[in-house]
Amino acid sequence: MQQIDADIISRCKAGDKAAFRTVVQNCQGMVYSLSLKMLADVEEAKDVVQDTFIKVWQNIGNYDDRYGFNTWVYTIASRLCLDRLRKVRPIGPTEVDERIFETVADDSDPERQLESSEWVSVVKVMADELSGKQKLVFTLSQLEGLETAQITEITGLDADQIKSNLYAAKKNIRERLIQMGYGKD
Amino acid sequence: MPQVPDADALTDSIMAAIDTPRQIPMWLTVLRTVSSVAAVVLMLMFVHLESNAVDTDDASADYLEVASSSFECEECSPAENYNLRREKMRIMNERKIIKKKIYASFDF
Repeated sequence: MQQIDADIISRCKAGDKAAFRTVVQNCQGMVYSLSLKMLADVEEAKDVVQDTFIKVWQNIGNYDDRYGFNTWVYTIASRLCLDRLRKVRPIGPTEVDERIFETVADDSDPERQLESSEWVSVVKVMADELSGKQKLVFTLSQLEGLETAQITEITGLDADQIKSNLYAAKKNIRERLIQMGYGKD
Repeated sequence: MPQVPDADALTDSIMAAIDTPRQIPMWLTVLRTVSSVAAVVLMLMFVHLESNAVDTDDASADYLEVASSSFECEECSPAENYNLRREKMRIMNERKIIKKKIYASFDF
């Protein structure tokens, strides 16, 4: 994850739009990644990216330098994702999603970067039945690779709550995988 | 990490969005003003009715007291008694008006 220079942030606080463009260019990837895995919809994810950076711009004056900038951006994006999940009724996985998931799961190259459409299918198949919180904790922890302390800052959940949400998410996903024939014999 | 589709276009749209000041539609401004005025009027009406409201128990007790008393004295002249009766009628009418106001406040 690319860190943003303190100088760039100071310039953004002073209203420098060129500096803010740098922030957007550097951080939109991580926001898109989070929102795509949360919402399983490319267009919704792009909307969240846009809304997140508009909020970042509007509130950058309130940003406290003691906290990580990326964590702050993640916090805004997470809230927007949870809001969307509450408002939009999720569409369950289709047969096409399951076929794409099987292709991805059987892929012999574990290093291959998945495309957006593949992520949509993987998330729909694996995380369809997770609650918003479980999905968020699982995504931040397992897919984005954040530390528990960072997840605490982003979600406001304490370590125990993160642990229990993660446990429930993993259990649900494991059951789903077994159901699809990917369980350990 | 999945690649952002049309990343440059998305950056441009974000920059365009922050360049555009937030426009508040006229209808929203009008609605906001009207609702604020309505809220103030309702509050004033409430305060007005509250200040006019008389405790129902006290009012009915006064009314009964006035109605049951003769307001006449044996030592008074007929003219004085006439004035007392007029006073009694005046008080009773006043009570009726207060009672109406109380009912009106209940309707509100």
